[in-house]
Order: sequence, then C-alpha cells, then structure tokens
Amino acid sequence: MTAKSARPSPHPPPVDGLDLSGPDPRSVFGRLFDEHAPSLHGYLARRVGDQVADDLVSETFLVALQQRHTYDSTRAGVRPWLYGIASNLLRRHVRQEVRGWRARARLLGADQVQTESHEGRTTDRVSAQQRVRQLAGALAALEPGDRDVLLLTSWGHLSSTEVAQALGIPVGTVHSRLHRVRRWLQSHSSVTTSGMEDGDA
Amino acid sequence: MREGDRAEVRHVWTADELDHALTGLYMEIKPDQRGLAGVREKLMAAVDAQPQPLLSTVADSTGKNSTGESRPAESGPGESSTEESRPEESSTVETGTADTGTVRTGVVETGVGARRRRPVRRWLAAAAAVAVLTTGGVLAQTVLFSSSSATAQAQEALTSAADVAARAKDPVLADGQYRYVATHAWWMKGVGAQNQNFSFLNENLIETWIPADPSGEWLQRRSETGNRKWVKGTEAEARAAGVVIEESPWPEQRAKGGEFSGNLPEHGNWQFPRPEFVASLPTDPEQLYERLRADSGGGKHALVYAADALRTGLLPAPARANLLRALTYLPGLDVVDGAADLDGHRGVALGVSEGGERQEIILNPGTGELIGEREVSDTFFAGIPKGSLISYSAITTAVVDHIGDKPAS
Repeated sequence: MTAKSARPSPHPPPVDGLDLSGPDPRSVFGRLFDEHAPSLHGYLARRVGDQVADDLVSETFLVALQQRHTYDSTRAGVRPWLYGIASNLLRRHVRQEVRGWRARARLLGADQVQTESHEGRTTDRVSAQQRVRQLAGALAALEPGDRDVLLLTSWGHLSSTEVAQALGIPVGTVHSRLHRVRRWLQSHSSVTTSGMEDGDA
Repeated sequence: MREGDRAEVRHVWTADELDHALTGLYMEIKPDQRGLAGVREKLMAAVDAQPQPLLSTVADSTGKNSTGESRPAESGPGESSTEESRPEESSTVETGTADTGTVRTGVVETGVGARRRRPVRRWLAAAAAVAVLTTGGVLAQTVLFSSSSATAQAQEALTSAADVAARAKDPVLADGQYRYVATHAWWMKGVGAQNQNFSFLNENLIETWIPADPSGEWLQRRSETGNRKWVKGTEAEARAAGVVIEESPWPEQRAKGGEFSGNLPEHGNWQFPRPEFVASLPTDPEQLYERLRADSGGGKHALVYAADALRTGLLPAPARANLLRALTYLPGLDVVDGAADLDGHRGVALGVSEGGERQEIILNPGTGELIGEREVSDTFFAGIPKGSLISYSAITTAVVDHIGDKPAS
C-alpha cells in the first residue's frame, strides 16, 4: 500500500495558514476535512467498522465546527484535537466495539483453521494470525481509556504528547498507561482469549 | 487450577510480536471511504448554516459583514466574479466574508481540491516508527533494583497490616443490599494556551453499587465535580490566558455483573478479581508476588495492580492479607509517610519510585484496608516541582440498603 509515505510529524503545524475561527470556515473546514478525514475514518473504521466510522467522522467535524472558536493551536495540534473529539464520541460505541473484537477473535480463529488444513505447515503465518486473533480478544478486555491510549498511538500514530492533548491527560500518564497496557497485552493476550472462546464460541 | 496451569505455560510476547499483532489486526480490511463524500457535503452544509456573529470583528475590519444581508452591495455579484477570475487564491478573505452563494461553493471546492496533495492512507506507514517510539518508552521505564525486597520498615508495616486484615470479618450483605465503593480522586490535568501551560488536580467522584449477588445489576456514577487544586499557575491566570476548562459529563451506567464496558475477562483479573481468579492465586506470599510481578510487569506496576485488586471491594479478607504479604517482596518498596492524610483518613504510605514518579498505596494500619493511592512527582518535569502530588484517590466502602443510596457519613 502506501507504506513508503513518511510518518506524519509528531507535531503537525496547525494546518498552515488556517485560522479555524477565521472568516473563512468553508475553505478552512474543507481543507481540514480533506487532510484529516480519511485517516481519522481509517482509524475509527478499525475500531467500530465503516458505517459507524462515517457517522463518527461526521459528528467529529460538526463538533469541531461548533467549537472552532475555542480551539487553540498553541495548546494542541489539529490532529490530536480532532482525535480527542472523536475519542469522546467513540465512548458511546464501546459495547459495539467490544462485540466486534470478540467476533473478530472467533473469525480469525476460523481463518486460522482453514489455513492450517489447506497449507499444512505455514507456521509463521499461522502463529502471526493466531496472535492477531488473541490480540483481538485481549483488546476487548481493556479499559476504554487504556484502549484509547494504545490505539491512538498504534493506529492513530499520535505521539505521546498528542495522545495527552487528545485525551486531556498528562504525558506522564500516557507513558505509564501505555507501558502498563503493553506489558499486560504481552503477557495476557494468549490467556484471555482462551477463556473467551469457551464462553463465546 | 486451570488459571495456575496457564500461568506456568504462558508465552509472553515480545514487544515486536505485540506490534506486529497490533499492525495486523484489521489491517486486511480496507475501510470503505466512499461514505466520506456525503459526510463532507453534510459538513459544508453545516458550515453554510452557521450563524457567524463571532466573526463580526474580523468581518468588520475587512469592511464586509459575514451575514451578507446587511451589506448586500458588498457581497453581491462583484465578489463572485472576483473569485471566478482567480480561484486558486480564493482561500482567505474573499470567500469567507460572505457565506451564502452557491456559485462560490464550486469555486472554493476547486481551490481546495487543487491543493489536496496527500492521499491520506498513512496508517500502515508508521508501524515501524511506532514500534521504535513505544520500545523507547519501555526502555526509559526499565529500572534496576539493587534490593531484592521491600525495606525492613515496609515489610513490618505490611506484615502488621496483613495480620489485621486476616482477622477482619468481611461485611455480610443481606439479600437486596449493596456494597458501596466510592473512589474520590484528584487526577492531574494539564491545560494550556498561548504557549503557557497550567496544571491542576481535577476532582472526580466514582461511585459503584455492587449487589449482594455480584451477578446482579451494578450501578456506577461518575462525575467531575469542578473542584480544582492548582499545581502550576492559578485559575485566574489560566482564564486570562484564554484557557477553556470544562468538565466532561459521564452518563450513569448500569450493567449486570459489573460489565460496564462489556469487556471484562471471563475468568477475572487483578482489576476485576472474580472468585475464580482469586481462587487461582497462590497462597504462598512469595509465589503470589511472582504472579503479581509476571502479570503486571513488576516495579510500580505491581503496586498499581495490587491496589487495583484491593480497591474493588471484591477480595475476601484472606486474599487481601496474602496480597499485602506478597508486597513485602516488592524490591524498593519503602514506607514514605507514616501519617499520610487522604480525605481526613490517615494511614501509612508505602511507595516505590520509578520513571520520575513515586507510586504509593496508603493502608489503614488499624484495619489493614487500602484507603487510597497517591502518585508523587519524583523529579522536576514540565514545570511541576519534585514532590508534587500528581494524583491521589481515596477509597470508601460501605454497605447500603438500596441501589443508589449513599452511606450515612
């Protein structure tokens, strides 16, 4: 895909020359949307699916439009600001997100069996797939706040500072949560899902 | 038994394996972004529908009024023709000062479209960079302990608290009664504007009602009270700098079995110690510490995990006592305050320092109960002096007769 494109800068300048509360909201928000909506949508779609993602992107930008006068570019970049709004809105869909992950854990399990029977010893691929499935199950077990920190970092590509800005928490908290969540996932991904299969499958 | 067996054979992922799995999850699904065009239209319609009184100063200064109607002469066809003649430059003053014309819609979109350069499907791209970033974070927090257990003073405090806890009788709930657990927390929040940063401790109250039969319906209420203790700067300074401070509303939650987020692990964990989980814990304190260390990652996280379990109100007395004894094996854990005051409750604070912060738990020596937690800055960071409280929370538990009742204080 587009793997060669550079990592977005950890501190994107406020969209150059864009004054959110300036006299030209149409042009400014058009540009803001074109710059950020696709990646925001991609992030949200991975968490709650395309359709809810459409709605959430829409709501995010509407909230941004309404709150544009309170946005302060010295306090947070545009991206963390938008992802922060989206994270708040996402909270209403937590159950759906978790159900999705559980379904995902099972689905990937089925895939894995097929792969095994068809191709026999594709060990690497199988174990990678198995890990993804296990991870899906483990993500379902995280506290929503922890999941936000992890996934804003890993999928949203926000820096710790940006995650802190997006969620309104101190950078130190982002670091320690991320550390804790990663350690927990590293040691629990395989454990949690085995229990979950019993109950859900 | 099964939990224990699993703990024996558990494979711990490397950071790389975790990153690969994270990157791989949902990666094969290409989000369908066709809906975005419609979303964009909706946004543009909303932009057009915006009343723009707040722009009046800007608009006036350019000699035009954003409503367009009070000065029809200036926002008429003349302006449109200007734009049509040079669409690429239509981004700032001219287009925005009037906001109604359909002609202009097309013009502006052309301008924006021309400037759109990056196809923004970049999330796959940064996986490697993220791996580096997070690995760095992990390394930064790795701490080498010279000691192999808690200090003698901490061991003594823990052991005596454990002795009391072991003798404690857990309150017995009658049918229909609820266990009430309140966390009264002050968590630090940072705000900023105009290159100034401010920090304050933000007061939160989280109340949970747990039914006598924990598989029944639980209730949780959470609120930010609006009370603040300023750590860096003052409220007046922050407001003068234009900072907007808001409390976020938290809806009341009800859920069977405490499944508020719908994602509790079936067999329980330190954060939600179901009976099955408690039964799986080793009773030997040293082995229990090993389990805690393995599950949490050790160091201050072991203390956080222990506090997580203790404050749920779900651990029976013998398990609480064992856990306190297990903490005597936590390297570097020391008594840092013999008379810590949390909401007027005094206790012994035990803390472990790591990564510029000291994590503390505060125990009531008279009952062996956890009465709260504190995080204290152990270094000067972001303008917050060493020794500052970064957060603290006090736990209150009680038995009440009805869901939603507060205990008489």
